[in-house]
Amino acid sequence: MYEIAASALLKEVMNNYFQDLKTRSKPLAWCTSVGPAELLRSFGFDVYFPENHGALLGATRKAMDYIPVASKIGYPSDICSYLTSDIGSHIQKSTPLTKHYGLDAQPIPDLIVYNTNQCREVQDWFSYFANQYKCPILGIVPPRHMDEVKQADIDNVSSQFKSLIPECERVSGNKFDIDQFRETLRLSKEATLLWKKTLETSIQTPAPISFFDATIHMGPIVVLRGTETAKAYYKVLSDELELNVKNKVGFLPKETSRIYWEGMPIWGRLRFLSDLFAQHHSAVVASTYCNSWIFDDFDERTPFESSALAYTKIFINRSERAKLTILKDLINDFRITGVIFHEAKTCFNNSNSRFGMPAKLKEETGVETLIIEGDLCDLRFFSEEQSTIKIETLLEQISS
Amino acid sequence: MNESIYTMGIDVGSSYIKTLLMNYSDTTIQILDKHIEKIRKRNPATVAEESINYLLEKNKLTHEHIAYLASTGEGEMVARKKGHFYSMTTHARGALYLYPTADYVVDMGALYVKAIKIDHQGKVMDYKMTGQCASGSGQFIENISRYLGLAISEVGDMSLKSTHPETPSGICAVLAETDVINMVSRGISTPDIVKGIHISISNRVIKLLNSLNADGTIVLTGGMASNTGMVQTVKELAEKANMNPENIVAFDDSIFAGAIGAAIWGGFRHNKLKLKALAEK
Repeated sequence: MYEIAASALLKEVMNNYFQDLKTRSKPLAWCTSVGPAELLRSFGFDVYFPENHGALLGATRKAMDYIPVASKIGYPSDICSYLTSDIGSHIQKSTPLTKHYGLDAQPIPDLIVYNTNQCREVQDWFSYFANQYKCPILGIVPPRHMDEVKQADIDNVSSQFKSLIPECERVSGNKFDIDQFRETLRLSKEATLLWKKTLETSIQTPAPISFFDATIHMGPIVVLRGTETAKAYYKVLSDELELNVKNKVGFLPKETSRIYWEGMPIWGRLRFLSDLFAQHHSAVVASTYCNSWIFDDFDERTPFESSALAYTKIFINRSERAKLTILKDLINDFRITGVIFHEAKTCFNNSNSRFGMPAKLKEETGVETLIIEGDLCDLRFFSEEQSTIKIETLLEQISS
Repeated sequence: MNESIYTMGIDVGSSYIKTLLMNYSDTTIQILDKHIEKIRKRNPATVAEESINYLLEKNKLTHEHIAYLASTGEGEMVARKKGHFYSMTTHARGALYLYPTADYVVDMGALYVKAIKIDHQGKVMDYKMTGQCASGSGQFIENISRYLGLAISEVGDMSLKSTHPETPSGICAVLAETDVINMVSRGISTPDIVKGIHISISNRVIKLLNSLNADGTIVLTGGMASNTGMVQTVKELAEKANMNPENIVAFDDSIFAGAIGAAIWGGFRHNKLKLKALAEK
């Protein structure tokens, strides 16, 4: 039975992160998962990510209890299920954080910061909480759906980053320190490069880390970017996986197909899907989702500009043409033989199957593509039986 | 290897279990007998066992005579199966048996409609399935026919009598059922309601075929392919979509396509394994 030994350390790292939030020794900022976490940390904020809570609500399958609660106050169940389950959990005064990390509730923010580089939903979601907690809220609104990120865009977003400074100084009580920002960004970049190295070990056969495992091991790169802890964790993880590659140890003894997962994870069905692919000797080795936390444009010499570039250049914020190019490169690098497009019914922004992408990708690469319907949190949108039929047929079609 | 063997295919659907006995060799395939059984509220595994026994006893055979018993559909729970084949694979092969130059198969089952592009060896080349709503499925027709007081066997012929069909919502089964209730209260005739439902489902079939750019012979399989009204409606809508309705064919045995395909693939696999064993000796 293949196991990643670093999982024990991961558990410890994540637990420590939440215990720090519980002690409230520092001011606390809420931030979107691909928001300006490094800038916030440079002011001494602890940073909490509601999307991480959304993923936990999905993985624990509690989301379906809370979504109807949010619907009652006007957030219907066909909008972002991170948003609806998170708001529902808040209203219900109940959270899986209690069972998993001993927190009574999500930690109360001193400041809320969002970046709409992923979607506008985060703005509405975070505004709800800003209103609930009577807390200041700041936003970065970058240009969207870009072919290329041009200098004017970098200047635009960079100046929005800078405009956060006065409020961050006021709430944190600390003056902005450019050297501290540079240092945080340097640490973040080092962690992000180690995360990239981790994911790229699965270019090899047998692959040592699956998409499903990577969705768990990505915790620190989301919540602890800009810290020594994240960097140290990914050093341990990437070293272990590189050794596995050297020893030809993978999560499957035999690979008859190599799959790319496009779109959000189906948090409440990770185990089911992982087992389904494994039964068919199919290795799900790469994904858009896990790759979205690789920010190799960070440069501490130009912290504002490089942050602006890295956070605006993310996959979800790109044009269909740019996305197609990124997918083609990853398909090539990871020697992919089939692509699953997860059409998340409540996440239009992170579902790329609706504008002809699967057909275009198949036409240009020759790689088979399949669309499955589901959701990140709301399992009422996921049919196990229907998805199994589709996936098994695809795997039979492409297996060597 | 041209030895003649007995194979069985069992296709466990969500409404019916189709079981078929075959005489198989690499050069000739002959259906010896077949049986269809509605599951009702019984355990499908038990119904499957009874169906197998029924065919064996009727043909004076025992389980030991069967070289390969292959399941498909939901048949992974069939205790006596030797192997299981995925439903698209078996429908593809079954369709080729029914029409040897078929290019596409549309499996119109109780829960889903699947359009499959195949090659002339029966390999699945591409496929599309209806989305998650049941309004594109045979189960939906059963529900509506029950509401209208019709036997499922009557709905096809009934639809042929329609003069002004009323089409319900094609998005959601619940909305469609509400539409039907509304139609009844408005005094719409039963043939027009039934025809409207056939149109709603056929629209989905045509949409799937269009998404595969279907331009060859299309074999309809599954339970709904036995419904003459449904076949007729698919052809009518195909013509409207600039497809040749003559290219759409259905057979009396269309409902057995999955079981036929399973029995054929079972025989093929049996012979392959036997050859492999001989080579290893």
